[in-house]
Amino acid sequence: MTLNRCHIAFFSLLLLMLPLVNGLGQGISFDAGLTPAQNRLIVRTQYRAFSTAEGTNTTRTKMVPVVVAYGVRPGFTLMMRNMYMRQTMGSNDAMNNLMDPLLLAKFRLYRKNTANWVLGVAPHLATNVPLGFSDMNPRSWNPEVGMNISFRPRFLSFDLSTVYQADDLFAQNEFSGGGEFRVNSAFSSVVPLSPGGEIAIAPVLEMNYLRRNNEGMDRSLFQQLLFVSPGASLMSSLLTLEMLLQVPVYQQDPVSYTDQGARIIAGLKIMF
Amino acid sequence: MRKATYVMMAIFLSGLVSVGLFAQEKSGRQEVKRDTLVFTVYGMDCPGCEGGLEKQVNKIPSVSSSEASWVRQQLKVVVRKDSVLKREDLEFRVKKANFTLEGKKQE
Repeated sequence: MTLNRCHIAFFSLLLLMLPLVNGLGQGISFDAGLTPAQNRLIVRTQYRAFSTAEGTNTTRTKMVPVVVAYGVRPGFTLMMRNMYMRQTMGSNDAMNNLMDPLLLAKFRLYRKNTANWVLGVAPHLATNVPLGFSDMNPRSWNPEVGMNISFRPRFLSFDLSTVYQADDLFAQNEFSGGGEFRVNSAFSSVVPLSPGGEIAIAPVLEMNYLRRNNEGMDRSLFQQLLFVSPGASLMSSLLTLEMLLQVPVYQQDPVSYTDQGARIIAGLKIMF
Repeated sequence: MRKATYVMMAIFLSGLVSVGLFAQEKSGRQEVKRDTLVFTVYGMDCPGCEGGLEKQVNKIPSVSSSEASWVRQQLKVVVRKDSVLKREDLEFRVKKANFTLEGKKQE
């Protein structure tokens, strides 16, 4: 896949269309449309565990992603994510992999603070850096563009993010051009546990949709996944603990016929 | 799976203790002095926002300490003795935290 006028036009069109898709209420994601304060350093890590099955072969995967975000300006945030992954296929030995870093920049497009609600819109651009830390990593540049919206009517919280990830931007692989489209949505209610609200608990319900086009010869095939994810966060001014259970409610994989299991996520966020 | 459950329980238990300690430390700072000013600030929606605002406001030379409350939409600012807090300085810092300064509630 080469970057030509068609691709530039597609990305421009996508950017224009994303707010419309969001307006139809087709999804959400968390902390999406809000950028943190200037000089705010946020470190976030998670433990993710899940299993996938291809016929009788089961693969158990454990992931520990670490994200570091920094508020360069009030409306500009830089993020870097790296991930450690351990996979065990059947009775084989476990494979440990350090994934390549992902760099992300988020910009504030619009933010309105009122006494009763907060509305934020922030697009983002991101890309993996194919350093080849392990064989699990793609050897190509796979940039992504996303549009994020957050609406916070006082103690409630609605977030929506839509992301398109291009596959193999510079056509380095033999088969490429898969691409991935994701829609993440989250709805939560923040309940203060003390009169001053120093500690709060937030039950959350997320929905995550993913559509990945086939990278092989037959481009008409694609994988689809829909997760419904209940969870909760415990928050203080410096620390957040989060737990989520991602349950696959719909999955379609006509290429590898992989069956996705439920995913458990436990996370920790520290803010400096 | 059992191992994963133990890991998650350990993370949550250690987190609960830490959250409690941070909250205790924060409530211990609730001293109200003569030179404490209280402002209304819009835009905070969780406890995490408080730290970001306090960090910015504490950069003002005339401010000795500050305490934000997302529930009350409130910012308490303790001004140094013989110092004057300019509204434009405060407004600038509140903007840097992505929030909106509304007005002074009381002195």
